[in-house]
Amino acid sequence: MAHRFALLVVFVFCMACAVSTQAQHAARIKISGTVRDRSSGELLGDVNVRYNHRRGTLSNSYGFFSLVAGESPVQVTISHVGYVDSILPALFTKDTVLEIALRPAALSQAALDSNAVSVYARNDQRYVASQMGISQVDLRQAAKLPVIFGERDVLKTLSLLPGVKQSADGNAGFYVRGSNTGQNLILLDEAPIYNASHLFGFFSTFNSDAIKDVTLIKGNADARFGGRLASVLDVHMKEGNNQELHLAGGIGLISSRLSLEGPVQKGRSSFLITGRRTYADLFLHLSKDKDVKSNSLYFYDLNTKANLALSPSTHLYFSGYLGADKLGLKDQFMIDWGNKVGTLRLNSILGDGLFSNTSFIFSDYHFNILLKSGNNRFHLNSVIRDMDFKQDFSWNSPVGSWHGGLVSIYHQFDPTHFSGGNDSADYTQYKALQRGWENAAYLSYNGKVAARFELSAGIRLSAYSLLGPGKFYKYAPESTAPVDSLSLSGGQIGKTYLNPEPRLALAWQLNKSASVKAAYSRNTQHLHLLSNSVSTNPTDQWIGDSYNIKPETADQLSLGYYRDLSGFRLEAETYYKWLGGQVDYRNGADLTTTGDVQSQLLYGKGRAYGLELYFKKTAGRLTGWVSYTLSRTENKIAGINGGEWYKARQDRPHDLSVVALYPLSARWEIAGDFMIATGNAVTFPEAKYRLNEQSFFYYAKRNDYRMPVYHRMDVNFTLKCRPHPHYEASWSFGLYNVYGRQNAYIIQFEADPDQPGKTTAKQTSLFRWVPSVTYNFKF
Amino acid sequence: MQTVPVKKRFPIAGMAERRSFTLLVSVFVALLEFCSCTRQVELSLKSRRPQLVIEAVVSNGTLGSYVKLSWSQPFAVQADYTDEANALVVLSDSTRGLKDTLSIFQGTDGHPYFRSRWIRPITGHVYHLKVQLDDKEYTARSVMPDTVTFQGITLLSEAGRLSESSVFTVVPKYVDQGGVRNYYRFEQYVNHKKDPGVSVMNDNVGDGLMNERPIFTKDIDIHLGDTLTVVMIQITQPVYQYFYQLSQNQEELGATPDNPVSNIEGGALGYFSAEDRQYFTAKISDDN
Repeated sequence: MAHRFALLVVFVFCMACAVSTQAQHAARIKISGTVRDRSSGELLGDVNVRYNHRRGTLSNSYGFFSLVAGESPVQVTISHVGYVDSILPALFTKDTVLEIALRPAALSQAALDSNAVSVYARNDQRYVASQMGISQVDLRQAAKLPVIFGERDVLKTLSLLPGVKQSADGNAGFYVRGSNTGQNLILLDEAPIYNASHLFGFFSTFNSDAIKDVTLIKGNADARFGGRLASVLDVHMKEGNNQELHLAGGIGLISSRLSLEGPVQKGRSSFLITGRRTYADLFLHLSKDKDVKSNSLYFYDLNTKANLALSPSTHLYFSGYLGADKLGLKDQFMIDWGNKVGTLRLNSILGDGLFSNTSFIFSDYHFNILLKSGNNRFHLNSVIRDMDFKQDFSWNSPVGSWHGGLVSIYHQFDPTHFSGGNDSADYTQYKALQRGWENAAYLSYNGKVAARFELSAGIRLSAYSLLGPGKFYKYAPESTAPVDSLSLSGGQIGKTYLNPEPRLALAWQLNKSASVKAAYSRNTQHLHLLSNSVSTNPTDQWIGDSYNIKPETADQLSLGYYRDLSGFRLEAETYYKWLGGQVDYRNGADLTTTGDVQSQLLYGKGRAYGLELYFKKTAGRLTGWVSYTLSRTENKIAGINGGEWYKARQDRPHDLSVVALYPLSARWEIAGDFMIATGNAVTFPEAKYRLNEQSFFYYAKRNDYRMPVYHRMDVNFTLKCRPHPHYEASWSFGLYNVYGRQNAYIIQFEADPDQPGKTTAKQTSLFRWVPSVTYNFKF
Repeated sequence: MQTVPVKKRFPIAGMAERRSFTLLVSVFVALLEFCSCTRQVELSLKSRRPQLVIEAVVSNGTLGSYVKLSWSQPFAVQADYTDEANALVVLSDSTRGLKDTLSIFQGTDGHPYFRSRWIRPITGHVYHLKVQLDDKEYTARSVMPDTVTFQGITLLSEAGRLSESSVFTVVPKYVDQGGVRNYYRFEQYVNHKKDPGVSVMNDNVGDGLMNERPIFTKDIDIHLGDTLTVVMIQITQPVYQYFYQLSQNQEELGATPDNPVSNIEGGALGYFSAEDRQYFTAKISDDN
């Protein structure tokens, strides 16, 4: 039963249609507008907007919706997960723009948490969208799941979903459907984040307090998205409460968080500032040892967002993120790295169902290593800097919704190089800046083509041009010496790669609760992550297309079956991915000091296929899911493994995750997870030999062995503090790796220096029984 | 033997390339050490047929020019390696037109090796190796590189008071030859015991300049009072690449390991290197 009283509707302005139009289309009424959360003023995406009991539309990620009704008068019904269903208390007879504020299902967060499950179940029957491979992270649920060090991390929660694998124990890096970490497009309010991890990957750059929603699209994104092969991780920051000032935070073992949000103009404009900082180094300062005292080891994040209503139909947004890691040893050695991103965005409702989103984006990732010794002062650094312009139009027509737009990105790469020296000598390596210009135009359609048939089709045309000035070398696979070169002058456009990327998705509603979907998509990637390490390193560098490096491509075909049972949901998807233009490095590559890193690279292709099963229980006291992935990922690169197919390191055929949440009482809730997966594919020695009076190992095929099976169970208890009129608070007590499984992090082979020929294999494990406690509060 | 006074400086001097980062990872891993552990594991690894291993050197080192032959063995075999003494081994200097069929000697370590009486390294000369064994022939070629003078070492330590537990790192002092590609390999002996770390350098950074980069030991720490011998070996590009791959295979969190590319034709493991060796031995003291 809908609750009329639950709704606050502001009729901002009604647009009278032109008389002639009215005469011609008397029955056609356009209803558009925005949907917000009534208590916080946050814009709400994916809100179901229906009219006259017909299926209508969903609001987009900026809370905007638009629908065309073929009859008059129109009654509009709004429903959304976690909010009270509402019927607008008016019948519309002409084109109208609405600002709708939805009321949360329960007024207090505490009450909302306890009944969120039933609310979710009631609203779960969303209409069938044709897109597939999409996972939306339930942030409220994620907040209760156990995480290492108690540091809530949305990226780590992702690895519990089918098709997503954690890069290493405790690590925030992730692989989607067999692709590597550099093939995920991670967007924070539309700005690309080039390294989404802190402290060598043990934490992600996403401060949970600043995040509104997170969507992962596994390779079948619509034509608006492009630039990476494997996935789009679309993260939106909160806008800030436009009703009242709030202070929230958390105190954990590793870091503390604080966020402040509130209105600039009540009900219209708001701001948000959140910060997070680790404080391991503060403990170092307590030490009496001067040397220990002068070390530094921390990271911080600062997220800011402001929005300004320029008019009822035009909003200006600014989002900023600043994050950095700093590790220093006694002022002699320092490494720092971090992202700086900013987005200025203008949202306008242009009328007639037309919505415009214009963005100017700046993104910068750098790392810098400083080494000081005596008179010498050296740096090793690298920078990637982007300036983007994006224009997106969406139009809800009577026959479906359309997206069209343009993207233009200017990339600048400062390749990894040494600089510095002393008073008498300069050791600087002069490597030229590299520039690239990436452009894309796209058009996509989403709509119903028959009663039970939904179609999403699109085309994206992407282009990447190498820009001068600079001298560019060409290499052959067999040698690191250049075979040819050419020069470009300043601003001159060099090699241009043009790639059409068709996308198609179909959904067929079998009956009220079951549907099948099929999708094909082609993605192209013009930026390539070079990493010759098995761990996530801040020193991994990005490089653009060139005369040697061609765009990476992925063609993905997927098929899925979805079924809603009462209180359960089953999803089964299969995929096959053909990968082209894959970049790897030569054996014995030196990616750091080599004059031109392109001389160290090799190219080839890959393939990945798998089956993903996801079974979710959404109703009842016990909720959670089971996810299982059966998959394979292989590469074939000339110059590696004798040019034969070999398993990618992240090839883990079996991967099972179980997640369960259960409220023990009104205040206590327990959440646990268990996962078991095949170990990574690794290269082990099959023989050994003596050279220079010591043992060395002989390796047969690449990645022909496996690390031991990985399994682990974690548990987390959440205790809500007693209700207080002025604040809410909770405690979180977690234990990571409950039964202390010694999962192999690395296996090393060692030779006994005193007994020639004697060798051993040693396994190092991290993280057994890591307890954590976090206190969260909100004023 | 000389004594080398210690300069109180931090160990990670100069452009430490990959190793500085590995060290940093180690620092971080050390911080996490309370929740990590290492144990010996048994792995079921396939066995590979033994292959001939050739270590062939034209050198001015203490052993002169020599060739050592042995056989590789499966990982599971824990016995000492099998030597090969029944081969025909010929070294030649094609620049001088000199050919030497090597004869077998018994080494001080108990292993037989083939030693040359005539072949000596001369810059720019082209050397050839031929090994014949059981109807198979293995051949290789190496050109003696340019040499520079190994001037000695600087020792670096952490800032602060020196003590018995202070650990030192060596910076070999030499001025690289400008405008020419030079490749170096280093061996360190601490109290006459060889450290197993493979250490190579090139002049991608600091071409023609005084070296400021340190070399690290893998297993043996250098302390006050130790006797240290550093061997600087000037090598060719293929031999550098061979040892660079070996050094990468030694990295704990490095790239996927792989076999180095041998410059020997015929399917043997190992390398042939015309090289220059210079030694520097010192006792570490805290005299100043």
